[in-house]
Amino acid sequence: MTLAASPSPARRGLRLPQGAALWAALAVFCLLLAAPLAGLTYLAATPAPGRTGLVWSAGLVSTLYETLLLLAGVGLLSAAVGVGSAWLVAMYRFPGRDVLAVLLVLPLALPTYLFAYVAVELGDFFGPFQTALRWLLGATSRRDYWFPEVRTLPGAIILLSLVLYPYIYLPSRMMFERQVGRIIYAARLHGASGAGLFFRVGLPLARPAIASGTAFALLETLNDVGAVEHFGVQSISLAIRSLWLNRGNLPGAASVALLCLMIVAVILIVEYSMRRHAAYASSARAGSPLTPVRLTGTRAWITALACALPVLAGFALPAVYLVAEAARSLARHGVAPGLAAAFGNSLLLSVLAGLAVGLIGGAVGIAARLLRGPLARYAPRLATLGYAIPGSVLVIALLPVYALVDDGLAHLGTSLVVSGSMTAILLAYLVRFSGIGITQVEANLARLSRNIDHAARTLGCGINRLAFGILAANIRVGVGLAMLFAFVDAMKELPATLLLRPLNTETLATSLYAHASGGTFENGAPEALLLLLVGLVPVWLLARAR
Amino acid sequence: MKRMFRAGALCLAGSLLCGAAAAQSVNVYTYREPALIKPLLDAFSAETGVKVNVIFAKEGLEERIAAEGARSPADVLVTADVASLVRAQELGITRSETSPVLAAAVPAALREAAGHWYGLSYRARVLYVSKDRVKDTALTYEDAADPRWKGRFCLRDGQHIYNNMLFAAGIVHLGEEKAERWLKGLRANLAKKPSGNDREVAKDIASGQCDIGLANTYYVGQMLKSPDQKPWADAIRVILPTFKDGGTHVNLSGIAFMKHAPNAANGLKLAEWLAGEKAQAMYASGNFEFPVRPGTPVDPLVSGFGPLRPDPVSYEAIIKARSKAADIIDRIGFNGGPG
Repeated sequence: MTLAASPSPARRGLRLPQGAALWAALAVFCLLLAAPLAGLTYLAATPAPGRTGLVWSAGLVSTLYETLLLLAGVGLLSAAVGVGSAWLVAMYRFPGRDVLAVLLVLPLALPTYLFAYVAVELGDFFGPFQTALRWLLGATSRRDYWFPEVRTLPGAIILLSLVLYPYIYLPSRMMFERQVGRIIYAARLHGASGAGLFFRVGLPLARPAIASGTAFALLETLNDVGAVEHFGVQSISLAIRSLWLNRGNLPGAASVALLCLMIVAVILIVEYSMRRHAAYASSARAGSPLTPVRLTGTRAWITALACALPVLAGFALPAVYLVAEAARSLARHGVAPGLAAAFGNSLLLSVLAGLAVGLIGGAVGIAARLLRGPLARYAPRLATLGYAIPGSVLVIALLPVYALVDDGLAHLGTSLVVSGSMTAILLAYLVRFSGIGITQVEANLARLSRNIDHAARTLGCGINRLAFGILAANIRVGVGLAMLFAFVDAMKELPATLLLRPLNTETLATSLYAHASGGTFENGAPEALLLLLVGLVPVWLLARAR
Repeated sequence: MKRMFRAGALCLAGSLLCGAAAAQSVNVYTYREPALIKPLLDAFSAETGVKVNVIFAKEGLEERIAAEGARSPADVLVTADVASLVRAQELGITRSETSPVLAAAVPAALREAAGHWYGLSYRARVLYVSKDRVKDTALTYEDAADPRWKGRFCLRDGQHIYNNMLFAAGIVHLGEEKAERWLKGLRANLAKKPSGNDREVAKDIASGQCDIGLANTYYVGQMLKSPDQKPWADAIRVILPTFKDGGTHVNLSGIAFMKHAPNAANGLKLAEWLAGEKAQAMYASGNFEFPVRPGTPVDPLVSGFGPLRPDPVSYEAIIKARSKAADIIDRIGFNGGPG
């Protein structure tokens, strides 16, 4: 492996070897990537007491089928909503457009498990919709009328799409507005408009943004356990859990998880190889001449409604419900004594996760651009793997790794350093969320022309200075987005926080889960609302990112 | 933002310091829902002065304790089902603890022979039926597969541990072949795909979607305590079903002693207290469970379900059959729903 260009001849004073810091960042990242893989391999290879290593069963086939349906559904629907709304907001001017452009990101703050509970409360027999319908029809039983069932596969697809589409909306909108604005502008000048402009120009141009956003949505779907279980969907993540818990077959569960990971890894690598040479090198100049077309009359209102719908269903409705429930719960039980501490812990963990992911994302993103060799090329492609493992299985895979580190550290002190500490949770967050950080930074870097690197090197700028002086100064947006995404994700994260936390430590997510697990989820409404409100701050910032 | 950050750091530091400062403490890893176990632990602290530090989780605590190894802070593992107790012992993270107090309070069938774990309470997996639409007063588990319930039967995920243990008990009673036929019958009777939780069985009966379903006993009492859920509980009646050649399936909750417990004496103290008269009465009245301690009365609501005849089949046999039960559920597409 060699560096991209020969090191600069000018060396003054004490300096790190050229590129050493970048290699170090890449190495740290590879350790994060390798930790769950090593853990899973270890678990897969450790025989369980008295159990056979049965992995394949007939049930797995139907599980795979249902998982594929779920993925296809969520992929199509979230991409349609995400790209569609991004296109409308970028191309047209209609009532409420500027507000909706921001509001469309809000569902991101809603954890899927929380939304699942709320959706069931709202959509079930005793929820407001069916109650109103019964009142209208004079019905008394569920068998007297038709109403869509919430707890079904289509229900799960709609629910997951509604919280995950912002992953696609955000990059697509930025792509339309800024990077490819000129091309769209040119197409418009040549007479393209409406659906033709969208399908023949907009959609192909936004492909990289759509692909990476949809990948996140699909991986989030793949690792979800809470929502799919509640909705009765037979997803592969539940099958893995059943192997581990019902069949006492942790090695089998780890093998299936590894298999899933390999499939995802192959897809990620293939996808990368396919578009590797199709770089969308835009000019370094920001800004776009794209002026939105003003819509009038019915068309304007229909467009406004189309953009408002995902916000209403994915955010406003659950938020109103949570406010009402929180008020009721506070009136009944007052403020729970642990609420402030849970809030503080959530905030602390999320801020630290945001900072660390921003740092790793920035360093690895730059390393991937400047360093040569397969490691620098392919390791960042696999960054999103952490998303592909069901949360609780990822945690179980990390436990032996933590134990190994603690055993190593035992020579220095006596007690556990990593296991059972906040560090354990943070490391799990890094394994899980550094992927989104790197993706954001790389998207930012892709907008910077390679000519900058060449010019800098020609002028005698060393790789360190290029990396940390020039490039780092130009990826503030990407690093900022990385931090915000990681903050929101850490705020919502449940399985790792639940199992890895120290004694007597609650976060908003864990105390919400404590209520939900007892079947009295409404008592956790204050926690849920607070979780949503804190999540809104970075989501708001994300939406306004320029 | 900065100020909020500082507040968060203070909270964190506070919670860590408190944990370290108490001289007398016991560290509890538990699967029991906080709302159920916390009143008990608070009462224990108030009475004995021993501070209780808790982690509540849904799964994976055995693995965590195993990974923490010799330096694990866990003193006891308090579980919601017997399978986790057995699994903890299998993983080699437990130790035996003999105590005359526990031996007197917990019947021999409800504890591990060498004292690695002790049962504390149990609950029955029963049938909820519609008050209005079902007239039967006695049914067996096998009866629920009768075609007359077609399109009327509801339950949660067939792989959930509550169902998994019941189905495993079915295998022990009926043998694999007949059990598969039984489960196919249940599946054919489903009104909809298995989903939600046990309370939703009552909710779905209240809404008229189902007439009969499987759920645990204690949820009835808990639903009656919640104003929102009372209508659900009011719509149902509880039937204690039995296997034709056995009794009613019950699942045991209990406590296991950890091998590397740093506060072993306090762990034992907690176990003895939880098996004592006061705590056992709390299990009965607060949680609507069946206390293990002989002579402790059950809640009037629960005794109103009728006399309970627990299935005599051993836990070892049921746990051994779990894997087979999970396989059958997958094989027959149980979770795929009716049809």
